[in-house]
Amino acid sequence: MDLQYSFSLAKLWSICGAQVIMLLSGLVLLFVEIFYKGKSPERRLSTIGWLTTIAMALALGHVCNKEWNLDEVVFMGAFSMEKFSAFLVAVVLMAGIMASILSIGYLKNNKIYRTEYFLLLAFAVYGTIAFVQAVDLLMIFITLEIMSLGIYCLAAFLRDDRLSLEGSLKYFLIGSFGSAFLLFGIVLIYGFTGEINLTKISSVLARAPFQHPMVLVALAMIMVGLMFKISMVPFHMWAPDVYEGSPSVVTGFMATAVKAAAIGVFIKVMAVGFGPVLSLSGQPEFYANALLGALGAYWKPILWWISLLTMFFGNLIAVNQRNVKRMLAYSSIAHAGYMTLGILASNDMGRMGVLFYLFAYTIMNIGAFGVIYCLDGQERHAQTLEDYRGLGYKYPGLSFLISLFLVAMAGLPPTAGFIGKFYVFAAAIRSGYLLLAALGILTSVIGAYYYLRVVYMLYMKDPVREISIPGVSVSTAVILIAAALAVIYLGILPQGLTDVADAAQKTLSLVF
Amino acid sequence: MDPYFLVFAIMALGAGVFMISARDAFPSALGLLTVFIALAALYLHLHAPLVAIFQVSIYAGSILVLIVFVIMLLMTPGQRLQEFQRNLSYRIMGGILGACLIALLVIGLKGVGEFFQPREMTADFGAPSAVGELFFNRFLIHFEVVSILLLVAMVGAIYLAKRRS
Repeated sequence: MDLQYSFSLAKLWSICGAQVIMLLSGLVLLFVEIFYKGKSPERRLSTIGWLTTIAMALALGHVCNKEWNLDEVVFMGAFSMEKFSAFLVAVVLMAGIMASILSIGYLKNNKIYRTEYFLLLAFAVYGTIAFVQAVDLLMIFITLEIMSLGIYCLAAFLRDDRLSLEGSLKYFLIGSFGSAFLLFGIVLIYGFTGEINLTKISSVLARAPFQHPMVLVALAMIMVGLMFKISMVPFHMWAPDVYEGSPSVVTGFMATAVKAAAIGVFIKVMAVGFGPVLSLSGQPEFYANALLGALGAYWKPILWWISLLTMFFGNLIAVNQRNVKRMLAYSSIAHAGYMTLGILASNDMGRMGVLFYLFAYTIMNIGAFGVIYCLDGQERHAQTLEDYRGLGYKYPGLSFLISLFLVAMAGLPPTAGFIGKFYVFAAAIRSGYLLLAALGILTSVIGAYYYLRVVYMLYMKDPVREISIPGVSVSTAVILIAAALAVIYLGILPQGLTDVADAAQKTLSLVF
Repeated sequence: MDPYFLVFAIMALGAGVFMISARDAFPSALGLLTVFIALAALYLHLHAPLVAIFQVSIYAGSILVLIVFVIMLLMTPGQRLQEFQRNLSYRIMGGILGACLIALLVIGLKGVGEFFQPREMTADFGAPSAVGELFFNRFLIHFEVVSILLLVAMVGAIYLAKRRS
């Protein structure tokens, strides 16, 4: 029996600690959910919501303190916890914490006192963390399914709402279709190399004729499978309906955590399994992989076009949307296109830029969806552009917050969105993608139009109908204000986070 | 490409196409059954009898029976059943499937090894003990994570299907 595949509890705790915490708390919540009656449905809801939040906070603490500096990062050839994964796990947990606190207020607003919500959220977060940590194609597939199943059910959580059910069913069908692509790709690559671990695959491929059609088809299929989850054009068709139909907070989580995880895995697969990364550990197996860089000639031109299409399509269609959630769905497609620039650049700055972008995007997007649910009151009560007319004077606090988040998404300084865009565009230009970067900046100008139109509606127009919203709870307000402060802070002083992100992306090679 | 592979591969593909193109749910389910059995035959061909047995007992055995039960509960029996029985193309297909089933049984009785050129394999290739060894050593963590997948699916399915209160 190979020693590197042996099981040890100490390694499980040090490498997969966050997963263990999320899993145990999910199981405990399952029983709490059954046996805890509570004084009133509202009390019960907030108790279980806060328990979920505390579990995620514990997991985040474990990741930041224990898992940031590990000597040994791979567990049983299935999970890894180098700094790159740790960074993304932290982003996912941050999204989870924000989403679960906002969800308490959201569910109360909609008078849904079903606590299965938090159970599904906890398991979805577990699946997302495991997905980010997986370094083995089989594990990538299994954890992708755990994450997706949780999200499908959360998307359908408004059981009596047709749009929610429709969106969830579409997501389920198209998501399964996408997973099938991924699975076919995995099977082909397993058939060719006989390995499922990414590092083993790359060392087998480097010694084999890797321009073999089977490898190229497998690579294409794995890319397609992940692009479905990232929602890149032309694999984006599910996104608008799902984002519009799902509960607002779930949409926020879906647009950030799932995207962050899928992009992280995309980078991991491309950099570790199908391409060379600069090694720090210096194992001999690694040096042969430098040859695999030749594969870039096959996937980079395709990614070039997909990136361009994603940026143009997302931004252009978003201009035409009247529903704010649907507009943000198209905007999230466009953001995926900007992040692809960083992947395409495939240099240190590009990968760092993508990580920074994901962090900033998570904060501003969940923040924006948080404000949307507050303005909405009950789901689908007030979420079109017409409803937003003139709200700026009636609800100055919320209007200011959503304006700030939208300005950040438009990429205007001094916000985190500007810095993120700056890094990915700079990295793309440095790698010689001048034309693509120029076109990208052009699309981002189109983007600014529809983001700022919302701000225009809020402050410059007179209301056409009376919108009244229930009070915003303290916890929601704290989360939204903290997100706003973070967006401005990262826009003015990005250095701290860029250092962390840079350290994180350098450790990709430690997976070997 | 030996004839054995070709027969069952074409059968799986044809049944798959029939399954998604059939307009009624019941023939569609039977098409799915044919896909499962043809795949089981292909697993035998790959010298993986254990996987073939699982395929037959779990997929063809339990999952498909469940699907057929659900269809039978929803469909009104009687007239439609006679309609299917009178359909000539279904009868021909049934004949072909019966022949294939007999062929499969004959292969099973004679022993798989007699039909394909023997290949160099480790002694316990595809044996239950070897598969179990892999499950609980090398793929222990995968095995456990799959159980969580089922748990999540169950929680979600119960929430979505539970009667509205």
